[in-house]
Amino acid sequence: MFNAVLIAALAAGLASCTKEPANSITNLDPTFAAYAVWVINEGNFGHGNSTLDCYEPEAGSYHENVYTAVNHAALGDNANDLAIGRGDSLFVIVNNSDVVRLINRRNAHILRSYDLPAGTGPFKMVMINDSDIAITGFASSTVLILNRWTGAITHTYAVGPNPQYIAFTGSWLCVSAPGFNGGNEVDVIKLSDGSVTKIAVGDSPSIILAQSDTSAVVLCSGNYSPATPASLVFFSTNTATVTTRVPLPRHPFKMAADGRVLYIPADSVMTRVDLYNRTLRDSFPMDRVAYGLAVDYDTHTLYLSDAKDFTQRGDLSMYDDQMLLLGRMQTGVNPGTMLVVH
Amino acid sequence: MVFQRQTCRSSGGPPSSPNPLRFGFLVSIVACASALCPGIGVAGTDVPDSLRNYHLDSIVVSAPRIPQSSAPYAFAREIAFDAAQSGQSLAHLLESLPGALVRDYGGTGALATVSWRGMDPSETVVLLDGIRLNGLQHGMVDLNKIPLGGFSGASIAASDAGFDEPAGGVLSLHSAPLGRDLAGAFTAGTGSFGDRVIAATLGAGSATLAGSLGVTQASAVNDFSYDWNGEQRTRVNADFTMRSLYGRAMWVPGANASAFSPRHDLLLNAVESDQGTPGAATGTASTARQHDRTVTAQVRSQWLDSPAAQLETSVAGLYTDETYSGLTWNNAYRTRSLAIAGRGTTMILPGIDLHAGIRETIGEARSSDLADATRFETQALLGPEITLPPSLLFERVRLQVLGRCDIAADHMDGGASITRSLITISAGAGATLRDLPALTMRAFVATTGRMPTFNDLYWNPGGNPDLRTERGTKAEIGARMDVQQAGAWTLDGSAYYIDSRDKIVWLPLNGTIWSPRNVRHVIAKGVTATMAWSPATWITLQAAEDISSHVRAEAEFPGDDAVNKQLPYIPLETTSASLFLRVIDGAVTADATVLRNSHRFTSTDNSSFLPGYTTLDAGVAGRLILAGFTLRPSLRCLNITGAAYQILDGYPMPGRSVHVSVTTEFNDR
Repeated sequence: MFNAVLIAALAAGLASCTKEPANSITNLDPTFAAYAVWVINEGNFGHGNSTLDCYEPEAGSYHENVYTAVNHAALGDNANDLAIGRGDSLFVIVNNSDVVRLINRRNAHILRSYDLPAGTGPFKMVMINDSDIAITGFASSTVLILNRWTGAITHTYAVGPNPQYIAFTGSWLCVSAPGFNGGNEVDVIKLSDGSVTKIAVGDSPSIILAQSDTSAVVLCSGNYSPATPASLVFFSTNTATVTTRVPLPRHPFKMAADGRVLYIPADSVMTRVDLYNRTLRDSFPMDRVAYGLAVDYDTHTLYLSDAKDFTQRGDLSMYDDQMLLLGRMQTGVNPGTMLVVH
Repeated sequence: MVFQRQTCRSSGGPPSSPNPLRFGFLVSIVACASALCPGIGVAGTDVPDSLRNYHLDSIVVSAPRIPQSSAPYAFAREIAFDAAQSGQSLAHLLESLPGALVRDYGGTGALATVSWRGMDPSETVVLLDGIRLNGLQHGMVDLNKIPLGGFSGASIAASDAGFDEPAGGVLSLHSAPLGRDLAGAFTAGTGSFGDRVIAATLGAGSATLAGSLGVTQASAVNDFSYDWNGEQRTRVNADFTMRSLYGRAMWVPGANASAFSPRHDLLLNAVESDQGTPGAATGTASTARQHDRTVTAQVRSQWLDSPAAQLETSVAGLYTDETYSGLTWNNAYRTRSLAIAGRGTTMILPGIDLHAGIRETIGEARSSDLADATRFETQALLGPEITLPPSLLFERVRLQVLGRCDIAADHMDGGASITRSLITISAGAGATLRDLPALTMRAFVATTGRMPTFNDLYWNPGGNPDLRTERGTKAEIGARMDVQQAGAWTLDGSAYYIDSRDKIVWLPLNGTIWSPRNVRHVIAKGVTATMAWSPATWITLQAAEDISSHVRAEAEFPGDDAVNKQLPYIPLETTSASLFLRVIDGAVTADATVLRNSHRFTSTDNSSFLPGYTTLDAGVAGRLILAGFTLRPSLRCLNITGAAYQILDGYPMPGRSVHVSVTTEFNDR
């Protein structure tokens, strides 16, 4: 009897008590509206779980993981940026896969993949003209010029450590290069001769917005330890000088412009800056922390993504220009860059 | 972009690293030994392993008499290192032990950590002959950087009888015993993935002095093919070379076979490794490399050892050096610490012993990624152990209470000073029923804590000097039964509960800067059951089952979807079964182990997961005596079925591998 009980207990123990969840990836062959908000879910670094979502505002439809559903393949590891291409095409930068993918934004089908040199770590991109794309190489501390037709790297510029954001002002490429330890450098590349000029803007420069052919504004987040203040720094590209510095509260990392209004979230507060007057305008409390931010210029709708704890699915909140919540949807893991396309 | 710069290695490197333990010799699941000698494998009784003595002629070479590792009333398991299990790493050996959670970034040659019952690796204390290996910098220990040469075995337990009481228990490695006769061994082995190992040991002794010395070199190309979403790939840049040296010397001035004499034990371990860091499967090929050096040295003196009083002192040093190259962030990390400790036990009344100890540690971590700081840490412990006289119900009851105080002061190079304190208390009891002496019962409850590491506090950028000390409570009840019916049976069961608060979690401030915060409240609970059955002296069957739940107990922010969800990478269920054979009077041994891990979630809201997996390992070893030499050939096959699986997302584990080795010994002890 004793042995029988033991054998039964052993058999019960060896039988699995836990049920494995079903895999939820579905096949999809959709047609997306031309007017859409595309959302990059970065996933977790090293896990290869980046996804691409599409929100259709007019239909109120949110489509998750459309790239994998359509192409039956993973998008890659740590997708990080989106940019509009010619016609209905859309570029997706996949950082830790060292690849740029070009997809059809009406159906999410892959059109082409551009493999970059191993160890580039592409971060952000900007279209220079009909042929050339400038890409920051976070891991290689370079800016690459990729010819979209041939797939060749036509120029490589050495810039400051760990370049992140990039903007194009007509003749100059502006690159924030904070490194890992809170540097203060923006590099200005003069495309006509390839010269690189360094401008000390403020600690931890990140997003750069081009304002004119010769001016841009960069968000400097400030450092945590030792603490230094955040600021919004306007600079001239042709003189390589800082023109205006606007102190900012807290340590913001995101910003997006809607005409003369600049939205800058930090912690659970949204601050608005008047770009014309270069002054703080007002601020609003939020119940979310921004990891991504985008503005629909037509409807003045603000799209704000919250990555939560960076290991669970985030959410996407929509606000009007008075920060009233219009709606909220669940996204993938680490929703970051968003792009509103009309 | 969110880089996991801190979470995996916290020393600034990527979540890969290192190096293996391909010691072609020495390794065997104790369960094997314990199964063959039922009663050893599962602790939880009132005799801790560290009380073992080894008597060799006139010299008495002993492990410390005072418990250094597992608390006597907590569930614990042991493994013994033996030539029969060559080709296995410590991580692999621990993986099948119930309660042990191994996080492995790609098998031999990659970073591997262990924690107890789902806690974080930095919450499990790893002791090397009593020296705490958890460094000041990041608190984790890479199992593949621990040399097995010179060690006889290890134990992992739910509670610590020493100066620390972490939520994640304690893993303790024990030095091999010394002998008086001249003895030595040479091992050569080879295997899959370019595995090569050579090792040599030599030991000798006299009536008052004994010592041993060993060297090992292990290397491997270590690239292997794996299936990634249906695509065949090959891991590259995973080669490694590791050299280790260990030595031990014991001096017993005035050795006397009939009386105790004070003794002094010198233990030395040094490991140097150079390896590629292959990185995650999802990234492009890495060319990064890592070069590490670790040196531990300890002088332990035992001054008294009698029923009335025991006293020992120790001076221990730890040096680690990690250098990375070819990464986006190249850097070097150096830590140094020196600890002076004294522990003793005295009988204050019949049946009542009083344990007391004090340890003073000074340590520092240096890197351009860290603000320079030096930590002075004072730890003390005090508590009684009471043996109650037999009663109507109980044949024997023992109670133990230990109070610990830990005060750490960090002095910054700029002149600032930050002091933190931590007090923990543990209480345990063990009892044997009068009418059922085969059954022993145990229980303990303890408060736990862990100081923030230097990375947590002083990492630049993102370190958070305002972090609080992690705190928590854990409790466990268990019972063990030894039965002689149709062979020898040993059954053991435990139920546990761990409430951990203010857990330190690194979260991104933006895309590239991470910062630690005290955010997490985790409740873990589960049951563990083990069984060993030896129907005859030559065969033993073992099985273990662990079912657990580890959930986030409170919302950490608005919209938190992870509340009451299983934490990532902790299996809900782990099952293992083993068969051990020992025939021809031990001249041939064989074993096979099946391990089943359930699916593990990869996100905190349980929206994604890695599927469960089952692995099968087996080995056979022989012993042949020729002209005074003992030959020990060994053949081991890991993952025989070639299961494709990942323990951590993005880090495929190796497929089938074969390892062979031959050890030649003279004057085998």
